[in-house]
Formats: sequence, structure tokens, C-alpha cells
Amino acid sequence: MNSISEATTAALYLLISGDAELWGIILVSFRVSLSALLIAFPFAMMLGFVLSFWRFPGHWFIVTLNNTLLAVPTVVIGLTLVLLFSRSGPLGDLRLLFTQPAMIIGQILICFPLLVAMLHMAYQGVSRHAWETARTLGCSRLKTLWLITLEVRFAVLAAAVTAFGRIIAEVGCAMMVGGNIAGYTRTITTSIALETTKGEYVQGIALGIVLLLLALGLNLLVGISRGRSVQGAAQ
Amino acid sequence: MKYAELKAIGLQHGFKRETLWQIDYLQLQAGECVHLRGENGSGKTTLLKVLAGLQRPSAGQVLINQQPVRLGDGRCCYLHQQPYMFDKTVRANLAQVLASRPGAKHEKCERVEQALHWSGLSHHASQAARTLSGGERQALAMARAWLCQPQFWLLDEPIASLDEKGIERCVQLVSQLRQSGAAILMTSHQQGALTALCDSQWQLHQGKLTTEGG
Repeated sequence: MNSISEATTAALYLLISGDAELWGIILVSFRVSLSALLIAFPFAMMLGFVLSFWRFPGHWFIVTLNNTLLAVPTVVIGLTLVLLFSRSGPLGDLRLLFTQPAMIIGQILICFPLLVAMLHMAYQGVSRHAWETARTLGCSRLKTLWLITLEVRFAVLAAAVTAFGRIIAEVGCAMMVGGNIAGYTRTITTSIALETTKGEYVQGIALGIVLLLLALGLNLLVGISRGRSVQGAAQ
Repeated sequence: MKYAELKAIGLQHGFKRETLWQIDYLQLQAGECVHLRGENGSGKTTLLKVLAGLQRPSAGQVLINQQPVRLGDGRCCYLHQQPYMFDKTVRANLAQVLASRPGAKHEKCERVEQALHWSGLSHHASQAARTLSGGERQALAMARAWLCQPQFWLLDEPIASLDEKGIERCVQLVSQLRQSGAAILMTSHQQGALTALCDSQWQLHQGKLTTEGG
């Protein structure tokens, strides 16, 4: 018990003192996960929108496939990418294995189905009349997508927060395709895993605190904006 | 308003293999006001949506001034029986119509104020649109469309489930549209002041459209 409190105190000190290695790991995590989210989000938004407002042959298949991909373990995505990007793999010439772009691709594959599922659900909550109204008033398809996204902005924000939380906290794929290279592909989660196996808990606890604070911050953000919206609607 | 004409040729619509209606020819001209009648489920709403370009017909085509109807060009506006209110204030609901259109900001603001005045919603400008009454919602929907200056107005049961005051407001707005020379095609189950504004009637019955003068 004593060692836990000592380690936690040391972890807090490490955070506050601005330890370069620790903050470097945090920076890499944020860079990779935010890049993945920013790339995946517009495509997921469009697919979620199309699935909600159009019926076409193969619609059910895309929804089913997406729901199936939701359940794929991150290590399986990591394994697939390792097979593709390894020297003998079909995309080996790209030399992506153990690089940040490979980690970004992995995280895109992890968050995309989640984003599509959540955004599909969010858009389904909007009446088709909204789409018809915007279009008949002369809005382009893109402008209509924007207007309807504004209608479900809190659900969209929640989808982004959930997806970000999922990819920044995943370890399997990041470890396999990133390789946990110090100062380059070492992220919060891969670092925690590595330090724990070495019996070094201080950095792991410090990074764990960062993840918890991040989760708290993001949820507060969603909560505050949702609260403002409810307040606004009541006035 | 300059001359405008909406034509439908060989129009047919149905679900799966069942034909809902088949209309060989239909014409609506600027200044005309037509009351489209028909039983529930006869396909009036579908017809209006097809004419507005919101739905594709199974066969045939709709032409506005000899050109195929194109959704999003603002020449033909379809208004729902229960208008959709965007989660904004009344003023913002109007402003968004002009947001992506060319023009100076102050001109757009002026147009929005004109629309508020035209629809009698000036006192509700800062109110959340979703808190408006049924009649006020219909007035806001018409004001939004008014900003687009459409040549053709397709009104789907505009006074259904409105109280007397709401009906009166709606009749007044449609009457103003009539005076401006716009072409109006409306559906309504209620005969009264609104349908009295129409100069002809179309009847959609058993999949066929018949016309008669007012």
C-alpha cells in the first residue's frame, strides 16, 4: 500500500516537473490519435449520413459489415497491418512498419467503424423532413449535411470523444505496428505496458493519470455543451 | 413575376410493381393557384414531392421552363404539412437560407428582416423556432421559402391541425403570394378561405388526375 502511494506521489511529481520523456510520449499519443480521428471523421460522417438518409442495394450489408468490424480486436487489425506492411508483405515497399503513419492507419481502422455506427445512429434521429427542407430551400448536398450535423452536434461531439478515447487508450495495434520505439512510436499505452513489465510503475501511473484526466476533460466538455444546449432550449 | 411554367409529361409513380398514379400531362403556370384534392393515400404528397424534385418518378419527367426540375435550385419549393424547424432562433432559421447565397451581409440581414415582417414574425425573431405554435411554424416555413423567391409553391396541407388564428395567418400569406404572381399548388382536406383563393381544382382519384376550372 505504501509503495502505491509513494509511486503515485512520484508519478505526480514526474508530471508536474515537466519530464521531457514523459511529455514526449504524451505528445506522440495525441499526435497519432488526433491525426487518425481527423482523417477518419469526415469520411465516417458522410457514410453515416448516407446510410441514414438513403436506401440503396447493399445498404444492409454495409451496416452489417460495419457492425462486425466494431467487434474486431485491435490486435487483429495490428496483425493484418503487420502482414501488409512487413518487408515480404504486399505493401512492404512503402516501409511503413514501425512508423507513426502505420499507427495512424491502424487507429483509423479502429475508430472508423465506431464513428460510422455512432454517427449513423445520430443522423437517424433527425427527421427526413430536415433533409427535404434544406434541399428544397436551395441548399447543396454538402450544405445540407452541415446543417443536419449541426442539428445533432452533441451526438456528433460524443461520437468524436468516444472514438478518440478508444484509439488513444488502445494498445494492441499500436504496439504491433508502432514497435514501441522510444521518442518516435512509444505512446501512453505502449509505454505503460512496457514499464509495468519492467517493474517501473511511476511512469505508468503518471501516464495512467493523464489518460484518466483526458477522459474526465472530454466528458466534461460534452456535458457542459449539452447542458448549455438544454438551458438554451428551455429559455 | 416573370412567366414561368411547370410541366409534367408521362409521369408515373409507384412502389414495387404497384402504380400509385399515372399522369399523362400536367401544367402549372405563373399566377395560377390550384387546389389538389384526393383521398388519404391517393398520392398527393408524393406527387408534390415528385414535382419539387424531392422524389424521382418511376417514369416521365418534370420540366420547369422547359428544363428538367433540379433539386436545390430554389425555383420550386415544397412545404411540409408539419414544417421542420431547425434548432435555432426564428431569425437564424431565415438567415441560414441566405447564408450560402451571394450578396453583401447587410443586404442579407435586410432581406431577413423583410421576411420577418412579411410573415408577421418580427416579435418572435429571437425566439427558438421549435417553441413556436403550429400557425407560426407554418408562417416561418413560408417565410424561409419566400427568401428563395421560388416560382412554384407546393404546399402540403398547410392548414391541417391549425387553429383559427393559424389558418387566418396562412390564408393571408397565401393571398399575398397570389398577388405577387407566384404559382401555387396546394393540398387541403378543408374547404374554406384557403381553398377559396384557388382558381382551379385537380382531383387525384384512383391513380388518375382530373382537372376542373374554379
